[in-house]
Amino acid sequence: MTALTDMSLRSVAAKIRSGEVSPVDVTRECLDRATATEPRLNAFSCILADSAMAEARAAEAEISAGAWRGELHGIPVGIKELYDVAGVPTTSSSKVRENWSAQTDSASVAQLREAGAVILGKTHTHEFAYGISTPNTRNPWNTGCIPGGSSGGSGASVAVGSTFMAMGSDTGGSIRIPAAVCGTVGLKPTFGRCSRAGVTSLSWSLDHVGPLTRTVADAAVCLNALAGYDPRDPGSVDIPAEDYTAALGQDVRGLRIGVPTNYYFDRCDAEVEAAVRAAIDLFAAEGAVISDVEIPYADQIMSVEFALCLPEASEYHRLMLRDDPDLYTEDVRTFLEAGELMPATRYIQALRVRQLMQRAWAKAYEDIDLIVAPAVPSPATRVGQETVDWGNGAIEPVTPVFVRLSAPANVTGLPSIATPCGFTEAGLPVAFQAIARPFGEATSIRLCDAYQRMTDWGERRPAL
Amino acid sequence: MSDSVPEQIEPSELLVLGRAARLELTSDRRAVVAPALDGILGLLDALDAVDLGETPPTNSFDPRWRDLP
Repeated sequence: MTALTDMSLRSVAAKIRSGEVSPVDVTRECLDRATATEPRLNAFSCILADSAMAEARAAEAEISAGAWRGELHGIPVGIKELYDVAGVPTTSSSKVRENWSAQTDSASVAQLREAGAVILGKTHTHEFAYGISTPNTRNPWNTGCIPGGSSGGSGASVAVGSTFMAMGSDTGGSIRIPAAVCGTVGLKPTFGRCSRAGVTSLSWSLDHVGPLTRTVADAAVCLNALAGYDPRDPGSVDIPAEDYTAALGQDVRGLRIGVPTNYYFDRCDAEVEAAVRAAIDLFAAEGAVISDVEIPYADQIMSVEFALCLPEASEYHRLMLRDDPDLYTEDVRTFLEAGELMPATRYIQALRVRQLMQRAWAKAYEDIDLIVAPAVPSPATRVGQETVDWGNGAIEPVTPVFVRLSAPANVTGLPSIATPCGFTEAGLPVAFQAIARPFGEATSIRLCDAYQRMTDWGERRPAL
Repeated sequence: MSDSVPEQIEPSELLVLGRAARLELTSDRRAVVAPALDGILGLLDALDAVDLGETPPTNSFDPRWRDLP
């Protein structure tokens, strides 16, 4: 018999709704799973066992009384350490904010509570989301490897089943990177689709929030709860949300998929490329229309990403960096100090290039609905590994390795879903990403959900 | 004296940049930050290849008093 913690959110939700299992049983099993895996993973910064059980009992009572709120009702979820949860510390996995406690819930947490979710705990981030390795946490497929980041704790907890969904944030790939290397789904919505209110900022003009889940269908359920306009977030866009589950269960016939001829497959691991191209072949065989697409301003993507992120992060941290510089980890402190010294004109120049880039990407999408490409060019690297050797003398530091294929969707603000599409010979997960037009989340969900129904990569679980 | 821009930022030069930013950087920190800054500024050089013409930046300001938090 399949354990509850090996199931998808939607499968467990159906059992809760029918009364076959109660939120109390589910929450207890998730807590047991966390107890069993945490010594090797350390995905959580804190586990809120008592309040989670209280919330589960409340959900059980409501559902028993006929007041089922929807598929998130009674489902244990994880919250990235950057998010405010009332009465709980928001440390951003940093000593700088060791005693920082939230008074109110962030928008996402409030939305999840409204939907009836059980807040099981908070998951580790790379310090202040400023990195891709999440040093506190390990990869569930190989604990000698990184879980990706910055939402590494969320990726690890969803992969092992201690939560059915965990929130991430994505400034240069921090939802999609851990999803890709931990073998989960990661949905980065369009910029402005989901409120960032109450989430510690890394870069206001690049930050996005979204869920990591086991399946695309689960992500659609979560997006239904999270999408919407919020005036407290200046980046929020007042466009009505839709029912994203309506995109589930369809085929891919007629979808127009662009396959990049440049950038995304440059310096890409051979096993990753083979798995992603196999997925594209499957889409073609199922009736999708495949065409080449050239990525515009490819040479400027990382320049714009870093030119915007660095000074914005340094400004957010300006006072803390002067008050407690020694409390930061070395890599984050160095980035923050360097960001203070960048000329303001470079920042404005990047904003101008971003304008041209947006227009050029819109033109590139004239004849396509989506771009399908690798989510990250490499499987998870070893803990402490600093570079990737691509051969022929091309050695690249790990941060740009993991950021460069994610950054385009941050710079353009386009929605992107990372979906598992294979494993390397060493047993590490591989993923593609599907990047849709602005507010085209439903199109990405349609494609990626169809892929998951045709393959079983997303059903595998780490042996941890 | 040459007017050309030096190819690499030297740690000693960060003293002035740090002063302009009102950020104290010890010699140890300057030694760490200089190569990092150098790498970042080198990455940003790719922006110069774009002819921006009259393109405005993407930031915008909405003067309406609507939905102010």
